[in-house]
Amino acid sequence: MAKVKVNLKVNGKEHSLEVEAATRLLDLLRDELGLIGTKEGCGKGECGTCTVIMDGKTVNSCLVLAPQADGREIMTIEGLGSPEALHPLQEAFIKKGAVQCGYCTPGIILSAFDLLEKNPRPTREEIKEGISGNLCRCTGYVKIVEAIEFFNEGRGEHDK
Amino acid sequence: MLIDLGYRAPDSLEEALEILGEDSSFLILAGGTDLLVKYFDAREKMGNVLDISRLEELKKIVIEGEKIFLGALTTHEEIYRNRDLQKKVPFLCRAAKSVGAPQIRNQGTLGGNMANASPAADLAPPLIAVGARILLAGPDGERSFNLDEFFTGPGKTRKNPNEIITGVEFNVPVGDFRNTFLKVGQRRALAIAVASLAIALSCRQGKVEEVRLSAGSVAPIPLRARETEKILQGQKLDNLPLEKAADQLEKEASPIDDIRGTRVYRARVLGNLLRKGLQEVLSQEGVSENG
Amino acid sequence: MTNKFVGKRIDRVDARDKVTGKALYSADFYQEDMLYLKVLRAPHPHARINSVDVTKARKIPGVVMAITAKDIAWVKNFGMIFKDQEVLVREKTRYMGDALAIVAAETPAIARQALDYIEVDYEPLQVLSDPLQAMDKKAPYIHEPREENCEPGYNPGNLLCSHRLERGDVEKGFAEADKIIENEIRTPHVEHVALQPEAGVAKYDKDTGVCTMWVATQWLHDIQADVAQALNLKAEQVQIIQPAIGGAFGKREDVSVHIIIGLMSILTGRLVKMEMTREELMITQNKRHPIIFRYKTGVKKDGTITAWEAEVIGDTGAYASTGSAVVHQALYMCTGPYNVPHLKGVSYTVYTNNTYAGAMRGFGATQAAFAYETQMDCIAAELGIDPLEFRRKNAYELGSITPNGQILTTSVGIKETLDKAAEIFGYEPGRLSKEVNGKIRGVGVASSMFGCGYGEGFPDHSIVDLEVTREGKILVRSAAADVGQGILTVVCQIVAEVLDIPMDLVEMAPGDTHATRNAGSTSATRQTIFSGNAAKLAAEELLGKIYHRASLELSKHHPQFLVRDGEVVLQGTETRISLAQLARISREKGDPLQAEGCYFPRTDVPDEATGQGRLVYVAYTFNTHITEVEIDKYTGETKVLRVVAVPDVGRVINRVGVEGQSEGGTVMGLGMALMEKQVIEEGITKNADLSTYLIPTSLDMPEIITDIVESGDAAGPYGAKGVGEPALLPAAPAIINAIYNATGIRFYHTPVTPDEILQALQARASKNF
Repeated sequence: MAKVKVNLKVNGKEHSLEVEAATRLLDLLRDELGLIGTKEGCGKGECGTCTVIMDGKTVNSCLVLAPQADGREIMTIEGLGSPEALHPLQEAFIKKGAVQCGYCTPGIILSAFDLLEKNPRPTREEIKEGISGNLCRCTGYVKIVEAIEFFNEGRGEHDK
Repeated sequence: MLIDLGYRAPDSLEEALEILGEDSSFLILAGGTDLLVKYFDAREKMGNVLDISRLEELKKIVIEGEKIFLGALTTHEEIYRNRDLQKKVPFLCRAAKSVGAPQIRNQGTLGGNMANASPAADLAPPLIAVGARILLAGPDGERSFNLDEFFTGPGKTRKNPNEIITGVEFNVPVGDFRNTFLKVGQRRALAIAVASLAIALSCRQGKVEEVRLSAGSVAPIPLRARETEKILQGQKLDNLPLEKAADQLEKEASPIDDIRGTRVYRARVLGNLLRKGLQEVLSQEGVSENG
Repeated sequence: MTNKFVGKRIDRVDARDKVTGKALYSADFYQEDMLYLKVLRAPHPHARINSVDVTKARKIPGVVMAITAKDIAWVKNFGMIFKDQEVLVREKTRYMGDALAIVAAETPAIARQALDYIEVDYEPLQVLSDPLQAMDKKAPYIHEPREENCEPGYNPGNLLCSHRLERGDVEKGFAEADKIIENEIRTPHVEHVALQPEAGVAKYDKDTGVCTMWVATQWLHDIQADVAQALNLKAEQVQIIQPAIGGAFGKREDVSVHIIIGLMSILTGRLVKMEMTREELMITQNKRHPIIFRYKTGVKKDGTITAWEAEVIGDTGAYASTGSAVVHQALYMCTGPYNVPHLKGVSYTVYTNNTYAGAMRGFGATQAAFAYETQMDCIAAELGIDPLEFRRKNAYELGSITPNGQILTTSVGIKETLDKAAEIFGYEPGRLSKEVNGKIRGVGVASSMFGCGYGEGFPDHSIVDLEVTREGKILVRSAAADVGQGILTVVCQIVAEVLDIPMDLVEMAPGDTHATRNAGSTSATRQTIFSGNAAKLAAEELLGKIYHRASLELSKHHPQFLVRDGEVVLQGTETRISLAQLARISREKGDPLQAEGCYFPRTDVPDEATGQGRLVYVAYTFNTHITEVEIDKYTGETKVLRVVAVPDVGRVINRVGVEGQSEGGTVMGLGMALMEKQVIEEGITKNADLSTYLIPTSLDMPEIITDIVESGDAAGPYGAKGVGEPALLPAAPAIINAIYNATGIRFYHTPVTPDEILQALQARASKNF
């Protein structure tokens, strides 16, 4: 199988890989780099569990061919925080009961993170819109929205 | 025995056209939100893929007064968020906003939406309603079409396999120009239109000077409802023949039954979208009559 | 005495790993040198298979093995109750998810492409996609007839079973009625859409003869048993280790990848991995049963119900799965939480060539709730009585009798749920519809009941083991599957409560058939009651042992001790001894600090002819929703504005958990009411992906207020009952009832789409001219 070279930065770390052209960014992250926090839920961009931030924009990594990520910067959930050092947004999700089965969680946290980077004072409706590309079947979204609002209220405190 | 995927990523439009000139079987990949879905779990069957997603020359939005050019690689999100477009053609931004959800809008491009030629393509109705032309480049030179003549059937356009869409251009009507876009879906996000309608209305001295109507998901291609336009043309704004126009619009559509909706519903709701949409534009404040 | 942990808002014990992407789900296991499996599925929903030729596939470089049924004649059938499913079909396909061949290859891409090289020769047979058609004696057999299930007048190959319910004398009841209301109400195929697709990894150790697999399942020990019997192994030769589970809702009760990965790990001798695509699992794995309810209810003018008769027909698809149980549970719940003195019913579970149906949140009770709440609403409208008042008048109290004849002696909070919901909502009888800004609004009510646990005399039990470690932590061994509902957190809370120890000193061992004892399934809304009670029993026994060891060490008597924050304290003194110390001493003395709790209550097998029993379920959970919708008259689109949800859970263990279930259940019900239908025509699934099978997004989320009634004194720990399935039950009917009040149009099915609403509105408008 013909291979292509892909150089990319993931969570601040440079990587140089050779993969088959048909490899998706999702597969590169999971299979090659062992970053299994990004999930596959449907493979067709319909559920958002594969959401990553690429060059500052959320994308469905199941719909990005690995060579399209060449030269780009990717952030996965592993880049936001670790169990020993949680990002306050992750803490908010725990505190507010926004995590049930957890499969949608990495993708939806990244969508929320990206939303708040671009719109630091979203209305509730804007929050719902910001995560509208991430399906959740367990929570009904209620506590997820509350967690994002809770994080946002606390953010002013952090910045002081 | 097994199929391999061929992949090329040209650095320039020129190089891209050269490749297509030699081998027009290359499928064009931009945002991937249609192509990679179509070939889900069978990516090797794409054969050869030409990745144009890095071509900077196709990424610009150029606004010079009333003349607007949107590069083919402009994403839905970029159209939605562009302040100038929001002021000049808000219905186009509303249509872009209605596409999928943030991730899909970040990846999906204008050119891809046009090339995919779904009768439900959300950007087509407002662009048709504003009289847009679509621009193509090929190894033999450039071509362009009125957008409402570009689509020939579901998934089919006048574009040749060795051509690339470079962008879309249109002039924003001067004077009292009002517009709206309505979309009916089965849920409030990640929803493909069951029916959609774009209305572009230029008014002068209390009358309809020019009106363009374009609908999605109610015909094999994005519909330009010329007969309905004729009914509204020249009419007084405070006495528009709404019922007659709505009936005509239902007749001009040729919807089908599919997994998303029935033909009966699509026709009926289209008439209602016209009623609703016209009420909406009538209550808008247009730009002053003198431009 | 106030509780420290029980009843509070507690952070989930597994949330930290989930928010950081560290939690491992079935597909997250990787090793060098894995083989990837792909399955060739049926070309036709009902066809005689003449040959499956894998010769060409075997020749592809990178393909290590390709097998058909011929290669595994020794493998047995599997199934939840009846073993009627084949691992690879031998003679005919019965639905599109049937497996014809398995390919193992070095990469997933090779495995997938290899499927294209498999040649199948088949002859189509008549496809039965309608249970009423399949029940007809003239229809072809989907399965061979089973003598014990034959019911005269019906097709013996296609009627899986029937059940009966009878109490009192319905003819007498109907004679006493002033009105008799008859309706046919139908629910469709519904898909779970658990976000994590089916996947698993297995490896076989030929030295020990043990096959180990990492794969999600709702019941470790049951799947272990089914895999073992299918592969002619002893149960102890199949080890299943539970990963994190990405949702279930009943999807992970049946075997999916489990036998295939076990089989291929044995045949290839290598580590194998299988991942199903979303499309594949939507076609292959179980659905919610579509059920037809034919109801006849007698009522007096004053609103008293006098009699209720029901015929319940469920489409169980190509295989039985849990269909014999689901459909008869729909029958057993078919009159809802209302006093019905005379009732009679029959249920039929029918095979078709559709995707097989099985457990899905509610297990028959969901479909029944939609049916009886539609019927109740119709009756209220017919009698001119306010719908909430009508329900209240007939609702259960202590002493009421369930359809199975069980007298309710504890924990009946249904009336409180109605009253509380009305109060919080601001419910005004007679003002259930209005027009706002050109849109029409309506308010709807629905209530529900649900019997927790398997009931019916089924051997339902759960075991929890506890141990105090050298570090003074409590190690909990429980096989209970946490599918997102939070049972592991509940178990830890209860242990922490009894032992008065901080929650972060309570540790869960991973679920493992070889290291944790049978906890039963995560289904039937049973885990809080069963594993919760088992945990409490274990913790109480452990506490006794702790005190005993402390009394030996301190030469003091037990009543003077108490536990606090991980220590045993001698009251009134500074003397204390840590659990860590006690654990070390106990271990040295050869008597480690361990305890086991087993909760195994008795229930009665209902009488075969009448469905009656003295104690058929250990507890019943009730729920009421009051819901407001807004309908756009131009498009028929319905928006759910707000829902007030009030479940009676007996006693709250984790407040956040109960709210989470209520909110999730409400939104799942919204989907069921307005957008969800798995369309299967002539056995072919037409919407096998998430752009055509739609579930609610965040933008569809209404305002949801959950308030909780604690009627206390239920069978679970601290008087708790479960809430997982009950949280869903009233959601869809409340929405459909609200649509009725907004539009005056009654719908007798779900989903109710904008299409149907618009057409109904316009039909009514044109009638009025």
